[in-house]
Amino acid sequence: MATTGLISPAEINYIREGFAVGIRADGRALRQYREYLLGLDVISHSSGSARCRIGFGTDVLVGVKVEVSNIEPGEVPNRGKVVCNVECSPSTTQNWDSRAADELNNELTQFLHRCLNDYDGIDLEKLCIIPNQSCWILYVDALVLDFGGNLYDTLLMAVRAALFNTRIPKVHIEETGDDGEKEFDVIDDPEEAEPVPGWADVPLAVTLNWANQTYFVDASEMEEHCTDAKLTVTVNKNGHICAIQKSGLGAIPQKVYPEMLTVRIRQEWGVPLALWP
Amino acid sequence: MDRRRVNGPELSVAPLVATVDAEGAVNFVQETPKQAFTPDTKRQDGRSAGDIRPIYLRAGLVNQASGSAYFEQKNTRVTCGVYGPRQNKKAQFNELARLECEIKFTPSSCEKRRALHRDPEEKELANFIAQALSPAVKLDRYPKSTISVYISVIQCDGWWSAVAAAITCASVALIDAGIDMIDSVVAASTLVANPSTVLMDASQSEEDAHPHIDAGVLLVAELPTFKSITHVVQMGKLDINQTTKATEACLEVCAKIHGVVNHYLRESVIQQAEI
Amino acid sequence: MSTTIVTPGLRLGKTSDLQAGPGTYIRDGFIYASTLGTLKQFATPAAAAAEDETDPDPRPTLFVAPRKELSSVPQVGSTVIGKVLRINTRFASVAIMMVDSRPCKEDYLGVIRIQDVRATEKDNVQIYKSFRPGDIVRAQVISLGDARSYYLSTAQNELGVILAQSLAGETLVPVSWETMQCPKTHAIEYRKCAKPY
Repeated sequence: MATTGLISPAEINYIREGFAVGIRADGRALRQYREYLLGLDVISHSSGSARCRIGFGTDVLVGVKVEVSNIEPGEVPNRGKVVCNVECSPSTTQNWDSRAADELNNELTQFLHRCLNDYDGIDLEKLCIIPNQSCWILYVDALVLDFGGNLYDTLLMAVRAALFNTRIPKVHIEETGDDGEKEFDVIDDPEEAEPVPGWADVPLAVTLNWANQTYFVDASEMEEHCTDAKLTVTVNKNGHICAIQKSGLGAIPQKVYPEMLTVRIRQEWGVPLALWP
Repeated sequence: MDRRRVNGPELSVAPLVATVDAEGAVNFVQETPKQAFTPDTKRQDGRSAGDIRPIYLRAGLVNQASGSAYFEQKNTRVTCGVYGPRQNKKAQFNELARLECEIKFTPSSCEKRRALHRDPEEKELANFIAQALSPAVKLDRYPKSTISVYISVIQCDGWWSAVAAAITCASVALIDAGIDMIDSVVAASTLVANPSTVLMDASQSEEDAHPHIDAGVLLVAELPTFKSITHVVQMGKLDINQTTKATEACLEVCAKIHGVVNHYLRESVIQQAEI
Repeated sequence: MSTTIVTPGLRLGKTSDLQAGPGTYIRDGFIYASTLGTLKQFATPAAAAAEDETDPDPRPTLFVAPRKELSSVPQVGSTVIGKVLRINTRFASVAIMMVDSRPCKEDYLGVIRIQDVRATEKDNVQIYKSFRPGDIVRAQVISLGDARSYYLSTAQNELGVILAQSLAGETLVPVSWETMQCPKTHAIEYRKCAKPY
């Protein structure tokens, strides 16, 4: 990832030696997540929003806006659209202004786009209002407010929660008579709004970090500087793998790779949700 | 009505494409027929599921560059130039060499015209390729330097197989430049079409016939001698068995590509000795 | 053996039998090739064995003769030749063009600081009297320096200006370690000269 921090070789050595014997700086086990907080409906003007914070570090705010869009000729005629954008707020780290932030933003946006589009998650066909004419478009905008390691997992957690929170207004379609042309009316009643079809099939990400011949989850900022490579695996609720992405400048040995794909996070180490007001 | 300009027709349609059917008759259709793959049919170009298209590779074509390579796989053509190690343009001290990658699909490489400037997809790919190549290069031997890798995809027949070709091409260009490397990097891509079919090196028509709703795409890059995976990307929904099977298939193919790469590299040394 | 072509990643031998020379690297007790070229081997030279009082290393050295000469990168201790780009009171900026008699494809930037111009009387050095823009100098890399430039030193007899132009346009001839003379006008100009052999 594009973070450049100052960390001394002695500190790197200390952290890496710890991994080899299963000890981490904050006392967690290798496969233990930090405590996370998830809050819903935090932005009043959006159709749905969520904020997720892991530990005292990474903080991601996601807002979803639902709008009506025209289906252009050349696009798939019977599907809705999802447009993602991730921005890392420059106020978090001084390293995140201009070019370094652009690269990171692009990386996260493309990753999110891969996770939400083009496969069996959100039911895009149900988001179509009138084929070849109009559809719902979901703008998913994420803002990274604070960085403390493990951006991918937090991002996807917040996005999934925001989609759960999103309500799409109901439409009333009627034929205008000539040539089977249809018109539609958006019903403003918030009680009648429906949840996003297929939000529950949106996957969650688990990032496994490879360092010093071991792997661990949920790296803090310091730990991220000590990793050789990261493998992000997104899994949906049925256990299907929806996306895999490796990042980092190191290599993962073939022998360990299948093991890393099947690692499970033990339930008792996941901490229960706490909701913000 | 706008009388000042000559407007084109309001409605435009895609041009008709000529196809030749089994009897030899020429038909004009709106779209090239896309043939979905089923286990009992052969692929559109006659390959079996596990075959990749034959590779032609040539190192050392660009004189100005420190190293270069040209990679061709039927209708996928990729060229790469490596410049460096040279001084960092940006004033930032680094103990290890910086590997800077740029990839551009030329506007006429894909079916739909691409923009002239690099779009976000290409910027992300450049990142992937840098990550795939970095473990192989001995970065500690060139402190304070930048190694620039510029990849140009001239023709693309299958997006993910073009990316795999780009990674292999870039690694050959790095070797041609004489930069110290641990090993070459080879990459392979695969399309998992239905529940159990793994199609290696999918062409564009095969990718279009299997949208990601019911299929998955996997790209794996590895260091063949040390059996380490340097990059992996997967899209689409697959279960763990499919993923494992696809990964194994990719790694097998990578070993074969490694043999081909070494063969062409040796040839380039022999050719140079003869000059 | 001399016509074996190797590619990076090819295992060449064990460290118990062989030593690793240029173009190779060691991993887990084995020697691998790190560049494309022909494999060559030479036995440890007898002269080195005679100098070494302790048990000389009997293992022959394996190295790979690269197919293409890599554009050279200045290392600490290498001798470089470059052209002086600009000077100020504290240092002279040099564009490094050759490293250890191998040309660089692209110039590197180096500086010769006032304290590295000569070995003695460092306080009284004047850059204006040691170098001028356009001079070709031979220097040694003393450190990787900062982000922008390598640190060079001319504090040895064989280091310093090797080629310079006089104000009249003629090539200056070295007279002493600190003066050069124009053959046409016989005017004396000050430079920190390198010994001319």
